[in-house]
Amino acid sequence: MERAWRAIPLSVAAFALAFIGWMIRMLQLAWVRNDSWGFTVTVASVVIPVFLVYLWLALYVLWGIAREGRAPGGEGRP
Amino acid sequence: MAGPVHQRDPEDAVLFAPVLGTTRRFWLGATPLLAMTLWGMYAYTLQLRYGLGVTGLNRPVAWGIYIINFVFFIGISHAGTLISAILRLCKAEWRRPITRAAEAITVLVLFFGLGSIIMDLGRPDRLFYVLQYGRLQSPLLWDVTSITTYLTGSALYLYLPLIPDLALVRDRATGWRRTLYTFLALGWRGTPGQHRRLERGIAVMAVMVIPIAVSVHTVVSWVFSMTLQPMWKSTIFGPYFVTGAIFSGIAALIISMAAVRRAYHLENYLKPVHFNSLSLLLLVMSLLWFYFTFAEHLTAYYGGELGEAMVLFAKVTGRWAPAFWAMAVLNFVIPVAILANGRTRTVAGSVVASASVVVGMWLERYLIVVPTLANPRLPYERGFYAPSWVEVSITAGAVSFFVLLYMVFTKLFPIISIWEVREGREGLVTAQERMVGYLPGPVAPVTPVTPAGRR
Amino acid sequence: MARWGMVIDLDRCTGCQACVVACKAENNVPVVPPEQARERRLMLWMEVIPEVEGEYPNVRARFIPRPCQQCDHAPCVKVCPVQALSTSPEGIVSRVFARCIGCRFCVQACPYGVIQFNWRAPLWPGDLYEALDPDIAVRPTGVAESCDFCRHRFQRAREQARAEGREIRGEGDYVPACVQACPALALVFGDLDDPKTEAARLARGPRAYRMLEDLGTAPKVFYLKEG
Repeated sequence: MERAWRAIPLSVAAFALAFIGWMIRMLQLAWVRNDSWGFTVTVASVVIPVFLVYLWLALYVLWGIAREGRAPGGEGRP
Repeated sequence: MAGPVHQRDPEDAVLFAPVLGTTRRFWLGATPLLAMTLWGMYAYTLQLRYGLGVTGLNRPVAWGIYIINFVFFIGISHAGTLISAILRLCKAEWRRPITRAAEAITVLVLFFGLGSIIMDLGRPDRLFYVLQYGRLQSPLLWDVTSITTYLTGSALYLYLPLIPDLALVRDRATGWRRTLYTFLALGWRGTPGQHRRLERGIAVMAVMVIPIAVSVHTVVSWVFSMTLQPMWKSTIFGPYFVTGAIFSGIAALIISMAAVRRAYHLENYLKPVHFNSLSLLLLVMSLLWFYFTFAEHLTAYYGGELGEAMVLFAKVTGRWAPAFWAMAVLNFVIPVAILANGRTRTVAGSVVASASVVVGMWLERYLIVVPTLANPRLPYERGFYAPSWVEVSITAGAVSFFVLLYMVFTKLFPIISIWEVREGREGLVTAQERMVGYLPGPVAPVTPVTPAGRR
Repeated sequence: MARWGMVIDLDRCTGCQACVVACKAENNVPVVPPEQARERRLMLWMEVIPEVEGEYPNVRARFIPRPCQQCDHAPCVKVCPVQALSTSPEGIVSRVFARCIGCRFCVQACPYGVIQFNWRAPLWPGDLYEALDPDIAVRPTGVAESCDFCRHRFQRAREQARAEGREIRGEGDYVPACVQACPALALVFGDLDDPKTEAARLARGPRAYRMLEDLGTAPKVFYLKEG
């Protein structure tokens, strides 16, 4: 249980990275096949920043909350 | 007011009760839903074995109930975003007991939207070709991208405000539940640092999830309007579908709120004023939906372009006239009649109006998909489509499974956001000061008002 | 590079449907039992459609053979999510059946309604199974299919031409099965970009028109209206 808390932030981060990786793969396919390059670039330029925000959320918010939860400190309001 | 997390607060005990224990009534309700779900799954195995021939699909109507369900379920998913995100950004205090239920609907129903489209595939074993070999010129790939983004975003947007509640439940739970909530609560202790991170995360997501949601149903509509088929090739489809989605989403939300209110005795938290506010939103969406529908059909009628006229008259006076006029009554006449009048805009009235809208909006999707396909431009094959028992069973199974999962959700997580309700109580002075700030000139200091009712 | 097109003379077509049968035999198009035909699930890559105008006795009837229109701006190619459909450099719209996921977007996007779908397991009863053409794939349940101007014949002709050390000719080297079978010589096939071929000449003529011209799909099947 000690390291279990990492599961959630890391899975979210992994998913965000996997999606960004997939989008890069789509860009590569579109370039090599010379098919739908314009569409792919447009979509990628919108969704990759969105998933970078999800990555930030996983690391700053979720990881940060979990890490603070483990550190000894005062009680706060619920 | 604020105290140590472990202090039992009898006032909100009713919000914890469903999570901490289960009555027999729950099992009585869940069993038929489970039975219907299994029946739907059985029907799908037949389709896997014999092919899509077990449906009523044919040429030219090669898309039917599964696509209709796909659009319908994705439409319902717009409930969470509007209520949660927009009302949060507008600082509307009445959203507090509603956000959790809305966000839960969104996340759960998106899976059913995805499931519907997978069920429609002739070769579901090749599903991952979409990821391996996808081309982003195809609206289906826009769907995959957009829905994945939305599902991830709304899952995060459900989870973040859930964390403090998970901590509250963790401190009251025992046994396996305690382990589960300890894991999910991420060690929440309510420290200022944690609050800062959480609130920033929620604020960012609230802003971001709105354009994502708008994009989702827009690209779903573009599956139709990017083709050249009569009455599909319409520039208005994006906004039309988003409006319809928000419309059906609010209706689904009202129904689910009324159900949990009754089942878990939440009358003190989900008050008539909440239903009133949502009803007014539903009324506005009904009028907006009517405006778009009227514009669509008037434009087709006036121009009289041959292909479009065939479809239009098939809908309005022809084979689909009963469905069309039923849709108009269910989506516009009944909701406006009930909700425009303050005396009928009660909790029960809003549920009736919402049920009417849910059925009417499903009919609307049906009338978008089938009449166009049955009346192609080349006048050679006038089509016809009647769903088979397989399709009806699968639809019934999907709806049952969704309701079942929602019920399970209310058993695992508080369906009303406890910490946000408490934050609302504690933040009354801030809220009042904000409202006073809207008024002109320097104002006298505000005397704090205690919440009316009990303590 | 050739741009293959077809010209169909409606004055000559007798509605005999030899083209339909030849196409089914050549391309392994499955047979559909009567109940399925009643459910509107016929599978015909080439279809002869009777068009009747007016009421008896002032009736005007014609037969319109309708293969895939092989559009230059094919809506089916645009919407396929997995690139199962593509347009070759010679302008032939063809499929990779092994890639198709059966979403039927192409079926819905085609304004001419030419695309077929395997709703159930395909059937080739009795001797038809022995007669399957080895040059073209046999499709399983759940994939879409449509006419591709007998592209396997094009590939054979191109290999033949290469073996003989020359380019494939715009006329005569290769015809689809329907064109070959027509007893009335109503179907003409050839390179539309080569002004000397019969197909190109007829396509430029005053009787030539295309179906749903104003949609901008630029089909490569031309019809010659009755003179």
